Amino acid sequence: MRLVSRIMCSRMGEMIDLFLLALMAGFIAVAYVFRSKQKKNLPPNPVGFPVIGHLHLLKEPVHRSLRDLSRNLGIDVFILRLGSRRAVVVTSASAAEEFLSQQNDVVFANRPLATLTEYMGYNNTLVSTAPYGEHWRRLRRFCAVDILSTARLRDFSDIRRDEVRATIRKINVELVTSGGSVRLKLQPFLYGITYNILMSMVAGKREEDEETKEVRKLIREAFDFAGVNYVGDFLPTLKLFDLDGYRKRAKKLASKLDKFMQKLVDEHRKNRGKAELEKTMITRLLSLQESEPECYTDDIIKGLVQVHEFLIPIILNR
Amino acid sequence: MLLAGTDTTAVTLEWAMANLLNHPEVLRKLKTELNEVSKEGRVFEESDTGKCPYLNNVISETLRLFPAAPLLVPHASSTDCEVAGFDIPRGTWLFINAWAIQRDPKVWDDPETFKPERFESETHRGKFLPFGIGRRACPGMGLAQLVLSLALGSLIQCFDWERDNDVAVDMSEGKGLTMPKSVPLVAKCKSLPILDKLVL
Repeated sequence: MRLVSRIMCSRMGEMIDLFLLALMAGFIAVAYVFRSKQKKNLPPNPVGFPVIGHLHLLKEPVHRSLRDLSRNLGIDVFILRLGSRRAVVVTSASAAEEFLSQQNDVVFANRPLATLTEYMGYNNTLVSTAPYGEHWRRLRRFCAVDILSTARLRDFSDIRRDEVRATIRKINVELVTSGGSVRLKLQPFLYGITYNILMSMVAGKREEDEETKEVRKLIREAFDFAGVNYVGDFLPTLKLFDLDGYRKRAKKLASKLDKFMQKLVDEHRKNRGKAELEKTMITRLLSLQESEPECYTDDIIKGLVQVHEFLIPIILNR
Repeated sequence: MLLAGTDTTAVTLEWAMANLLNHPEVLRKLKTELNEVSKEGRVFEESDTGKCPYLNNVISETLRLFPAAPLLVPHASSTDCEVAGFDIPRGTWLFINAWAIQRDPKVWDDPETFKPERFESETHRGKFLPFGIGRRACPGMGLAQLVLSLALGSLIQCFDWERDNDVAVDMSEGKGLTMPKSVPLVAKCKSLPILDKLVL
């Protein structure tokens, strides 16, 4: 009997020990959660809904609605939940500088990934969308040194002069045919200048070409496509089903665009050494391909030709 | 290359022309500067742009009020970090409202007015960022500036421009990625004698 009670006692003791241990563990866990919750000092956010978060607050034009939101909240840094994504919106010069200053600039040197960049941006390898790292630095250096440096830009100055003057002549033709004064819609002329300058720098071509016209049409289409907000970028579960056929359409457009880009590259390859192509960006890239074939694949070259700065989820309401 | 450069630059040219048509006194002043620089009656050249501070100020003022990427191009964070006293978790997207910053009455005088002269004196570090800042800033800025000044300078020098009718040009922003003009700009255009040098 005594033995039994002694055993019982020691069992009780063990249980109390165990209980205390569990209590302590629980306490530590609660304290940890509490602490980490306290430590997280997120910027404030407006009231949102479950699932969609703050997507409903974004109205066209978005920069205006975000400014109004910042004014209403009375703060220059706030958080928005866009579906399952978290975004911080900055509305003052001083805060912008803090976010992109020396040390934070590296932290924020990535780009949001979007469905469209997977398809049209050669799986996020474009200089505009690639994550920060070795690959991106190489492309960026190429752009800065081989295409957009002061010396290279000077090399291209004839192109700029010729294209601007060609447009002035075009406007003049309109004037001559209508007696010296005319009502003009400026857009087509202005786009003509910028598109032809870039196309000449990149591929030694102008819009006069049937093919170049076709590429421009496709680029236009890609641009309009990028202007549409894809809800799957904010609510990734929807992406799995592709109910609206968005991914299918993106893929189709991407493959059409890719065909033209490949043609441009192949043409350059075939006509290497021709004077009119000597200075183009594609020629420069093809010679880099010879020395570093693994870094400058055809996909990378085609990506640089396109460079969609805007194939990134842009928050526009639908 | 083709996409990032074409739309942004063309849209900025359209906004610049629209601003000039709404501000005849600015247009006049710009024209005087351009004619002064190419006195001998030759057509405007890229090498002239360095001697045209007002032209460059007109372009800056256009980019201030109508930046082609009003929210810049979004960034995303690769690690947790602390900024401006806040904890920002990894994977957070960053939108910088350059459009709002460039019209912020706390840092700009009379921010809604088109006034190229403000770029003669004010310092703009930090509050003027149409091409973004940091290592992801637009690498095409130099090219954009060259194209903008040559194209705008030439258009203004070679033609007389007037508003299509007496009402002010509509300046509202349309839907789209590069902040296009909601109503495409239509203007009255007249030829000037300088054109003979170019056409013949």
